[in-house]
Amino acid sequence: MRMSLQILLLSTLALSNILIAAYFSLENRRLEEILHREHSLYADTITRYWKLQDDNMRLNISCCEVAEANRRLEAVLNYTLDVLRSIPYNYTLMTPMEFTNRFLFAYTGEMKGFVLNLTGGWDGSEGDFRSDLYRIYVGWRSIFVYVFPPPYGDCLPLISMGPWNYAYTQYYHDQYLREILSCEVTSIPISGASISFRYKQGSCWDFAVVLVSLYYAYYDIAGRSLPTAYISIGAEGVEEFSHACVLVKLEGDMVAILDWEPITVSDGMLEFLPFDLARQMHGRYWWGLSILYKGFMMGRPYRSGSFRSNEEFYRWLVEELG
Amino acid sequence: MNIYYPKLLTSLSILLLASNIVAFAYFYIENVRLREAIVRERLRYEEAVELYRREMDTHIALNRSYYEALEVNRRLEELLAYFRGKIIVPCNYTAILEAEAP
Repeated sequence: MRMSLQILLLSTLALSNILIAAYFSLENRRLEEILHREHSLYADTITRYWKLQDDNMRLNISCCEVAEANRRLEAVLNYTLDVLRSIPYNYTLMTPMEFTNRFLFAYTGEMKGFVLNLTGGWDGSEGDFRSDLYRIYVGWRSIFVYVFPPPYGDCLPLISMGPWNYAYTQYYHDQYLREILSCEVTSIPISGASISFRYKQGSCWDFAVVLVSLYYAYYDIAGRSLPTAYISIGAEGVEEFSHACVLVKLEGDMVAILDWEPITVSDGMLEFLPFDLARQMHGRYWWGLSILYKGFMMGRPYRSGSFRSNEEFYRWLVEELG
Repeated sequence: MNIYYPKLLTSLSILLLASNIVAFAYFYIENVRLREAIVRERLRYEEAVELYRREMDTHIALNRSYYEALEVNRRLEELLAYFRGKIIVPCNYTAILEAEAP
């Protein structure tokens, strides 16, 4: 009996031993898993924190870089505004292209008076129109003196801003304007019909630009206009030959050309001839050179272009000039 | 042989009891250590979450400042581009030329 009790006790102890080991093993394993999970959460969060900290550092640097660039740009802007505030007259700001557009062929009241004085206005007849164009040419040619280089040196202030340096921010890689290396108000030489007319001197450029402008003035007085352009010319095989003349188109390829001398004129009025014939006459005027029509400029609105060949010029003359 | 059985059984019982106690103590200590470690890890995690949250607030503020600065930069660029390469032309320039005519 006693022995049986002892064996029962032994069995109970052995079983409890096994149960303790089994229970705690399972429980501790569960806790280890929880610990591992908690550690993973922590590690993940702290890693994200470190990354964010690093991001913030770079973002802060980017912020400072852009803010610093803004301070530099504000200084440039303030300088520009100070310069503009110090100008004692009313002004408009224009790009050189806008300036050319508005100013190159613009005529003054004096030029209009000059035209009116020469022509007395248009009586409505075709003959009077053509003879008026001739009279304008003669009137301008008679007072114009060839001087090269032109005697005038008119300049206007130009806001010149040096190279613009762009950069990319460290963090988002956005492009921003980092600095403008220099900003100053310089002078830019300007030219135009009204300046050339004022001096009544200059090169073929001045003569042709003013003649075009005087024709525009006449068209406004008469209320009738013909396509009129400043034409730059060269000569085949003569590289150094560069000159300017005026072309007036009637219709199709019928043109009148005015150089230092009127190329197409008869009986005191402009004569409109087919382009090929006018070109031959123009060549004869230039000692038999083969004239190349290389480019054009005209106003209302301002446009310009260049040609690689006379065929290209002819296409433009017939199809586009009008 | 029968004489030694009770002694052997008693010894075995004592051994098993001791082993029970040792096993319990070992596992219990390990269990407590793990529980404490979990509590510590949870605290560290909460601290990390708090740090992250604060850093995120900083990030949001920095982001806002960054985009504001970038926007200012674009506006300055636009303004400066407006002035760049512009000629300052008197309003009545043609009339001025006429007045100055020789």
